[in-house]
Amino acid sequence: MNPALAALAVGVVAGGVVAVSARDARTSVVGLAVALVFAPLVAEPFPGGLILTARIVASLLSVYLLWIVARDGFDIRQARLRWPVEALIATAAGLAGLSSAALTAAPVTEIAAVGVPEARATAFAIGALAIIPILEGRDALRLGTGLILAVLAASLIQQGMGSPVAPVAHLAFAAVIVGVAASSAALGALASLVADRADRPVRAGAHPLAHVVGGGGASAQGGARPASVDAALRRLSDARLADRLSGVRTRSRSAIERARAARIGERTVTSVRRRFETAGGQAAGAERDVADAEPQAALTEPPITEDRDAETMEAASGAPEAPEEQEPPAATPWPTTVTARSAGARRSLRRRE
Amino acid sequence: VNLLLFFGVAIGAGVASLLVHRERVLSAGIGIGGLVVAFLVATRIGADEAIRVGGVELAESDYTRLFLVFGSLAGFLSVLVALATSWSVALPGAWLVVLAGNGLALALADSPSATAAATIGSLAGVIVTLGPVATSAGLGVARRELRALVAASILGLAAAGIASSQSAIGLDPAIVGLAFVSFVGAAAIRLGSIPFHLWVARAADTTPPLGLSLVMAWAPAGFVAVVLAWLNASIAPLGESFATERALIVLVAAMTIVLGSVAATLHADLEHVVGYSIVADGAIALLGLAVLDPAAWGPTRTWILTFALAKSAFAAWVAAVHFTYGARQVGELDGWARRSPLLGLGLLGVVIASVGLPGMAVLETRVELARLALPEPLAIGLLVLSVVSLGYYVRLAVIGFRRPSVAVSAGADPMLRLTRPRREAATTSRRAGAARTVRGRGNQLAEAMTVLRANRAPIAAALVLAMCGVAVILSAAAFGLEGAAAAARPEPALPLGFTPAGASLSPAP
Repeated sequence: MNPALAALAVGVVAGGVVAVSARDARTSVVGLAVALVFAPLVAEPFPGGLILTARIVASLLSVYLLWIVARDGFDIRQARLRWPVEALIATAAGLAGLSSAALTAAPVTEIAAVGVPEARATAFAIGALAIIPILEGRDALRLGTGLILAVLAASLIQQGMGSPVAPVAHLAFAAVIVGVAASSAALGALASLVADRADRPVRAGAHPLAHVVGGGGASAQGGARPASVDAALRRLSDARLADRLSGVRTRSRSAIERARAARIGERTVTSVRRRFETAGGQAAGAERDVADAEPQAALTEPPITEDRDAETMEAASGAPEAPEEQEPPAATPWPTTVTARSAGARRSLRRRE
Repeated sequence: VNLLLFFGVAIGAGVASLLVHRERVLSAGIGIGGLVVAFLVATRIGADEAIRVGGVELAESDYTRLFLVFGSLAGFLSVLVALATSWSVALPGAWLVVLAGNGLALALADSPSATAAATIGSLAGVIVTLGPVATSAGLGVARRELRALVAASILGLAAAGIASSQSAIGLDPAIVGLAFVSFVGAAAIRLGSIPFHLWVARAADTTPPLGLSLVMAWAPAGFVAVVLAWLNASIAPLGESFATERALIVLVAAMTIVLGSVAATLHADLEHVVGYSIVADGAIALLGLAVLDPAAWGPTRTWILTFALAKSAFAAWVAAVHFTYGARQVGELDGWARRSPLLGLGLLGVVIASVGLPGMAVLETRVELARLALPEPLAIGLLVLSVVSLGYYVRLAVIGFRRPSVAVSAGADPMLRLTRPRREAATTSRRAGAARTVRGRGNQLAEAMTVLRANRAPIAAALVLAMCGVAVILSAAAFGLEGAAAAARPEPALPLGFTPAGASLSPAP
């Protein structure tokens, strides 16, 4: 057994384990990147420089496509199995792959085919890791991760057969990986859009002030604009706590306690305070006008920042001018949100007409 | 060169149409224009020519030409029917990309690359399954579609990688058998065969009917052609019988043919009827994959193309009926044929194109594949059972001649009504000057659009009839389909009877 190849194989499998068991979408994408980049190297002989470059570029492109969705705080479903279990499964499958001599082709041509046991072991391990996300993947990112790992396993099996993989086959695998990543990323982005349209709880990565700006009044989510910096900070703290608790549901009691005890950082407090100071009266005025125009709609509408909210309110109140008259300066964060929402609403109304 | 030009046009126009989907008119224009240009370019594809691009050989053939010509034509007519009935913004772009992927898959000799090409093209079909607007239900269906598609692709890539034409002969027969079942199983997943049909049932919930034919018939057609080529290049030359594996495949195919037809007959929803009918007829191609004999090469490829075109016509018929009467439940469509004879003729065309008449290639192919896959008595039994596939057509025809239901009576006017264009506007404009002339022309255009909009139902029915006509002509093996399908069989890489040192092949049957 070649120690270098074995080390690379371990790296690929470790990346796979992180990809399928991470509780955060961004960590999962990083693990996937490791697996994708190192997988073509688990071969003997190494693929040519051009082919290797193509594989690595395709891997980075795939990962970047998924990163676009993950960086915006995509709500990834928590993995049912934790990383030690996944690692054990991968190890068992890898050992099975290592001993799968039946997959070694007999020497047919002058190129003796003896196989690469490291590649076969990696293929089995990665294939085993991919099964659960594929079967269970209820969100696009998990499903995409599983599918990409499975494609990777198929390519590793071919590398493990012994005969050199044709360049065109390398390109084919790279193309499928990019295609699957693009499809998963598109579905993930759409899922976020659809979830935002529906009433969606506060999620990590989104500033809670953005959620309360659109509500224009009290709502099911407690969507009234916070009256003070303290209120905003309390809401931010609650939102983060809920998010942390959802992440640590299956962990120990001490982890829950740690989540409860976590405080908001100084930088965030400063940022919230500055937003309050800079937003000032115009934004508050705009919000008040919208709320006054249709208090009933404000009560029933979810507080999520979506064009639909403004549209519905305008349609119900029959006074679409209210937010338009309050054209605030673009530099301040709240007024920008209000303007964008009003403009979006105007665009869709115009389109409907 | 024309093949490369086709790929350029199809991928360029398809991707552009999908990217500008927010601009609906522009997207539709690019998509429809792309389909027209792709059709024209496809007619120029030559026979038995090969191009090498970067060490990869792309082979042109008559069959590839026919596949792409009729694929483009079906896409063009389907998009026009969608324009007349209910528009799906992703349809033209997705159709072009799927066709490009299938064309590339047919042209490539290397099985893994061809599998990848067929898969990447089919990924565009996932967008269609979302439905007109992205909803959580549509996303669920799209995820299922993506999972089925890529899972099938992974099975295919792994099988083709393990048992390539070079390496298959040196492998343990059990491993080769596993690869055989995996690749054909992948085709079964793509075709939605029972027991892999669950995603199909969900797909019919959100996918527009015209998208169903793309996702369930055209997209898997290329994949099935790739599997067939791999079987002929890598598995058939080994001389192994693979009796158990073949029995398993035939069982899945027979179950799907019978149960799919029964489901289509019993289902109340028209779009599910289309879905299950595609599943049932697609399984006949599986019979061809169970035959490790060169004799199945031609009939299977003939069936793939005629089946896809006939099902496109059926899907277009369903879209037209749904639009005309505003109902998609079979129970609400009493008397549809009495109200719209054009649609009645369309259904007749669909039946002839799908089932065939004595002497037509589509019927002969069905009989031939059953005969090749099964011994005589079982083949006759399967053919008798497959008569069930007439059940849903008969059911639809019977309700068409009943007394019209409320939905049918209140439906759109299925007869063509030409309102007289107003000349006054133009006359006034001549008198009043250039500015008014422009307005007068605008009025004329608006008038023409009004007439077109008022006649959407009969226009859709006419388009369906045209599509059925094309499908019937192709089902009769016109345009040299049978000869084209039987040609260009891949040659095995190693001669028959070659046994490498250390290989453990079991004795040939």
